Amino acid sequence: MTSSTMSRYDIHCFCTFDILDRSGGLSKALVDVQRRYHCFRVEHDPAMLPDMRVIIGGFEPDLTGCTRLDDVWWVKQGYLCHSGEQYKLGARWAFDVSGLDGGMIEVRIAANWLGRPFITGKIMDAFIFYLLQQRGCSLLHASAVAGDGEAFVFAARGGGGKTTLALAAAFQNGMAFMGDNFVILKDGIVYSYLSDLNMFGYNLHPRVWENLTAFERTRFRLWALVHRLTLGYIKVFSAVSPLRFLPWACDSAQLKKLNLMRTSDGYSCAPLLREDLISCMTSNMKLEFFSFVRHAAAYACRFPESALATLWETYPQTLAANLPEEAALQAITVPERITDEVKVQALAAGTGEAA
Amino acid sequence: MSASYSFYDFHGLVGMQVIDHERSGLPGLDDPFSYFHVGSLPDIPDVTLELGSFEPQFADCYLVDHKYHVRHNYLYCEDTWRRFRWRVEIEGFESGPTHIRLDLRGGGLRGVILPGMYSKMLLTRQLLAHKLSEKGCALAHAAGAARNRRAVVLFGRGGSYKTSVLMSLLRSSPEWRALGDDGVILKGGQAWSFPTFPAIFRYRLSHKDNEALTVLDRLKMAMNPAGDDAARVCYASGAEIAALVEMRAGGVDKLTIEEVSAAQNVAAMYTGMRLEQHNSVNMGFNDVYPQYLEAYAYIFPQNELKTGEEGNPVLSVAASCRVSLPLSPGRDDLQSVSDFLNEINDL
Repeated sequence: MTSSTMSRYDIHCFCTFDILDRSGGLSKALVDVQRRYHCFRVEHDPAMLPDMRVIIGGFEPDLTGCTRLDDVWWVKQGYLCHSGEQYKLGARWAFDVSGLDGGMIEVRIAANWLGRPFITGKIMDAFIFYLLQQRGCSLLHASAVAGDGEAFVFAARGGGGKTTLALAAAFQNGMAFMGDNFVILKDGIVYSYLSDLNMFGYNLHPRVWENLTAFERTRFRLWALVHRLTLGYIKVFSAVSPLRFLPWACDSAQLKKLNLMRTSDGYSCAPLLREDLISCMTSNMKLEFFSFVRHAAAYACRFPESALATLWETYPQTLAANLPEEAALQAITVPERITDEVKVQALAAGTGEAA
Repeated sequence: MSASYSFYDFHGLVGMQVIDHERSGLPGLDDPFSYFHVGSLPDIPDVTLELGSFEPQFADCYLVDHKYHVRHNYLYCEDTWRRFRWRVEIEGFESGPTHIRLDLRGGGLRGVILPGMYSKMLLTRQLLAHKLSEKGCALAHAAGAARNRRAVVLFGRGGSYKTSVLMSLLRSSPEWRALGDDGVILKGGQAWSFPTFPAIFRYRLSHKDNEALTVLDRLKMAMNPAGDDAARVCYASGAEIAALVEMRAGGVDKLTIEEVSAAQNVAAMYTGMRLEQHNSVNMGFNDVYPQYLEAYAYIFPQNELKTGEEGNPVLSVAASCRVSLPLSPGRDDLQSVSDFLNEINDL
């Protein structure tokens, strides 16, 4: 049995990264970090250096010559160490990153077993976002589907209907699935970002449920029970690979429509100004990676001109450059509980011809 | 049960009213803004903070992240930070007089002993900063002291020895008057005091060489919240900014003082204030208010809340420099910085 495995991932040839998980077998069995990115997995080639390397397990931070900020960050040229973040129920993690001033980025993450489920969403995804941003690609917190080479994007905050609408479009309208949480936009083309579907009671499509094994169904029910018993304090999404029941995925397509989803009392749809959309998409991304907004602000205290410090100023600029003038932009408001009727309306507006 | 009303006047720049419906904590310690306490306010308060349980009116709202109820100039949410949990409703979120209703619970022992303090720490500082910036003032995250109506302002992140240097400076001559150890109000070329937790500050100045307060210290303060009269601190009311100093800890082996351009230092101070919004060492409740702003901006992208550089008032300072201390500076290092600041202030 090997104690650690190095695996290589490639996101549409925009960037590559390696993950090395040095954690113990039990931690790995509980939360498989690498699984989340398995749709991007490629053959590992030791001769080719990746753009980023992520190492999970205990690490010794390199604090010599660092400036200390607020007793939690340690900063020097190209290097940032965050000595620990606490989350619900005593979940903890810490990370450091080197190579911020060029070359290969190396991220080292240590987490206790309660913190382990959060490191993908809170650290690794954020650094992948940073890496893509460096390559001029805009990561969107959105789902997307494609038909006839045209992509339709649904951007939303949590619970806004991203997964629900993408699955409905795929199952009912036979459109190709491109991602339910993130997609990439570069020069007017939407690229898929297939990660495991984050399923919870409110977005569980019956077709997904049919495809679950008995074990997965039990686990799903168990987490739903925990959610109810803790009055919503603990919320664990069940990860399900989209490739199991969505073989008709699409790699890339021309952006046709970008829909910004908002939740309120009823259904409505209206065109949206380009500047407003870019501003909303930036807020959406900040809320998604809020701890990263903080880390960028910390690094800015020492290196205000660096790419990390200016990340949130460059994001809207890059998005503006990648967003084609001819794409239709609209705001769709849906009720909190998305009924079948609203689904049909929203899909017609979001993927239909009429603007 | 009758509510208690208290009023705060921040140098005639911003007025605040606190209506407490149910609880009172330890006097003095319980109120971070006790220095600004006044009997009444001449105008309608810019900020009203109403503490206690309330009925939120969040009909016709957008819902963001299952959590934030947002409509124009309004936000309501139920939220948690560490062991605290609260419900908060903010009317006048974007413009006009702001009315906050806050029902803060939990927090363990701290929440039981000092409910008023934590309620006042949750959002007030950020809102005051916002109200001040509307009037062209910056609420700098800085320590400051003044002598002969000339002020030195020390900004830097938590743990950069701002307070230690300030203490050293105040002890060096009785002519020095504190402006604050966590905040200073700046406008144009002038500085006004923003003392928070004056009781704790007085206690530190008279009894402590370092910033760490033990349980025994806290007990002593609780027993004698008015503080040691002999060491009572006087606060300067207003002064010309003689020097803007960036404080850094680490990255050097010995004390280093270098000259920096004023523009660079002012920009660095604003960068630090941005981080202060997310991570306040003294006030806690990290990331709470910035997330409210972002959730609001997701629904109303064209809002009047200026969070970027355009919201930063223009400042002018006579001198500016950067002081880098080693990670564990000696007493002589702090003394040297204090001597240097004395010198600069006399120029």
